[in-house]
Amino acid sequence: MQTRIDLNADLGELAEGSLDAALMPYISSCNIACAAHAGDFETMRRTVRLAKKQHVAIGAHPGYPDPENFGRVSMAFQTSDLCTLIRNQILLLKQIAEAEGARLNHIKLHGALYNDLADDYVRSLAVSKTIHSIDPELRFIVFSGSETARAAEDAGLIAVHEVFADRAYTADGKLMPRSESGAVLHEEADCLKQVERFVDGSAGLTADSICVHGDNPSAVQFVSNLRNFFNQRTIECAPAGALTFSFKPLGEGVLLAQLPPRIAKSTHRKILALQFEAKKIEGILEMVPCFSELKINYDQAVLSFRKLKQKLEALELCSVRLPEPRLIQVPVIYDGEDLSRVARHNGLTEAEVVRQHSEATYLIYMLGFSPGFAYMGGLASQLATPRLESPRVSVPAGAVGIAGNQTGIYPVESPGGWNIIGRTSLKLFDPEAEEPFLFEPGDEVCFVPIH
Amino acid sequence: MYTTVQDAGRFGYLRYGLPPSGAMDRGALEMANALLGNDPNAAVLEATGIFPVIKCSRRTRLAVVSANGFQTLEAGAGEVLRFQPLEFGYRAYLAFAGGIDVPVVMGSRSTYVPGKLGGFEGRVLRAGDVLPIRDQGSQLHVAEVPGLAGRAGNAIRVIPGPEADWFDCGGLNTFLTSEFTVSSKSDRTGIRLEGAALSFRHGRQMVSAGIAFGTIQVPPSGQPMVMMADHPTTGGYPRIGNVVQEDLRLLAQLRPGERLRFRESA
Repeated sequence: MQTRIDLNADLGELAEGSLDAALMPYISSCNIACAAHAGDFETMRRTVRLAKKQHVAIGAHPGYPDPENFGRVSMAFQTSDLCTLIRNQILLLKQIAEAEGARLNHIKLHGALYNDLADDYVRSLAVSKTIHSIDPELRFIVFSGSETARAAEDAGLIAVHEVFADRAYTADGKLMPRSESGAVLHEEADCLKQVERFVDGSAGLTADSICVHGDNPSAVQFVSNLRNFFNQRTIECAPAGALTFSFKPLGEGVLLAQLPPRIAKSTHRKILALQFEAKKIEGILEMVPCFSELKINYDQAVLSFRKLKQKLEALELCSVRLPEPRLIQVPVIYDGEDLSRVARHNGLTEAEVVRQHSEATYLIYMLGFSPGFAYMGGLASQLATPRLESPRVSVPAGAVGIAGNQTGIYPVESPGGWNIIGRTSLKLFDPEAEEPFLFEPGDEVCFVPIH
Repeated sequence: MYTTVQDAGRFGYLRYGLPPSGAMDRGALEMANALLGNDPNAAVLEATGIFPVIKCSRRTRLAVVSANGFQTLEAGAGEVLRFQPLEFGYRAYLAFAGGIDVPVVMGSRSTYVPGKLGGFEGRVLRAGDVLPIRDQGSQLHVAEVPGLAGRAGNAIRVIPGPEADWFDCGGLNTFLTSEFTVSSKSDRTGIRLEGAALSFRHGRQMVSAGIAFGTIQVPPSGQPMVMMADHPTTGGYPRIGNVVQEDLRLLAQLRPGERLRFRESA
């Protein structure tokens, strides 16, 4: 069960008479229209003031400049023009917020712009970089699990994954098209049931923030009920994306410093920053970075759990400048026995699989499972391929494989069910070498095809 | 026969995914070395279930420690040593004065069999293997000798784990009240347990996270497994608890088919 969730709503879209003020007490973040698809200087200032008064996080809500259609129709823009358009809208709200003594916390795209970018990594990355250039601390509220989410993290932003209480989802985490029956949940009970599945994790979606509406009195009533629903379950409603560590013991002599569980670059960087700073603490024996936690083995003769926790909490992590990641080139002969299977599964030629696999740069989040095995992020979604139905009894060391949306290299000979697309002669694990392991958590890896 | 060379373990490489290895019953290792005046980290033989038959090529002092008891003895040159089967307990430790002198690999003489690393050629011993002993002419010097593992008559104590609250009341209750049987699939990686399945509160997915010696993971089958000396450093199953360090040796001494219970550590 998650213990924290954000409730966000799109506000400042109407002139006087809207229910913004009625909704404000129940939400934790608001997205304010920036005078493109809706709103004007007055609605922006008024909404900022309301939000500030109610301690609601303030966000910019850029959209297509098309008030007639309320930003709900796609428009063709060059990427650079689109970025300028978004930049100007964000800056406008930022100035207004700052003039009111408030801070801009996040960005959420509106309507057709939000939808158009959800599946478009390239444009999402350009937009994310634009946001990052305005303020790298800005959170980006995006459709849960979307390409925009991936791009935001790649650009160095914290992606806040958004879900919808009143929309049905398909098995692969997309919204069911409105044309299908049951796409919109009309009954409050059904919406609450879906929210329950978001927060207990059984929906299989990352749910940092729930989008709620305030366009009619019954919608406001629903949000108030939702707030009670969370109160009863002691789930805190608060803006999302704060990477705050919590500390737990793992038996004796081991402390876990945990962030909300997810595989994301922002989380990874924070873990590495803690590892970097914690090296100063006397009595720490070993530290193991994992996706969303740092495992710390400590000497119980020197430190207690409480003492170590205090020392970790006292570390200043915001100003940590991590060393530039190493880029490790891995030469690969792409002649694996499953190369054709990966190509066939994804409707690509083998050459195209090789090109895509070797074009990307991968990030090592953590090592584990077996000595020297690196969990790498960054596989192109077009190359994702399910594991073999029956694993092989033996896969040689150096085999390069794909399983699901992951790619990896077998450091030692072992049984395995990954699709083998190639092999490298690099030794990932050599017990006799001075540095027995090739990879460290935080390294970047690229594959270089050799013939 | 599953006999390997072990010492107190290999440390400093957890973040690369290398398990610590080392003796499963750390107390017995300490005792065996203490009985001979060895370095506490000297390498010994860890025998599982049955003892190997040993011939010493020259006069040798050795110590035998199991859950049954301990003894020191002196073997003459060419003497063949056969040991009585263990009355109870599962792992016996044979220490030799000076310690077993296999090469130190990454800071330890412990064998990590799945990684073909350390110990004697990185593997389980076979008949005919000849192991060198460090001859230091050490003196018998019984310092503080730790006690025996004893029998796991009492429940194994656990400290609740980071995902303990993923289990519903029934699941936690089953964990702390019902009896489990040690599966024959148990090994140095982990003690797998069979019994009532532990029910989860939620069908949650976990991202891979840290594991320690004694961490109890619960895979979707609901059958817990206690991670032991050769544990993977990370795992993707909820961690319901951790066995307290003192009680790990009780687990190490359980045979497949034996039963145990858990109780929450005070």
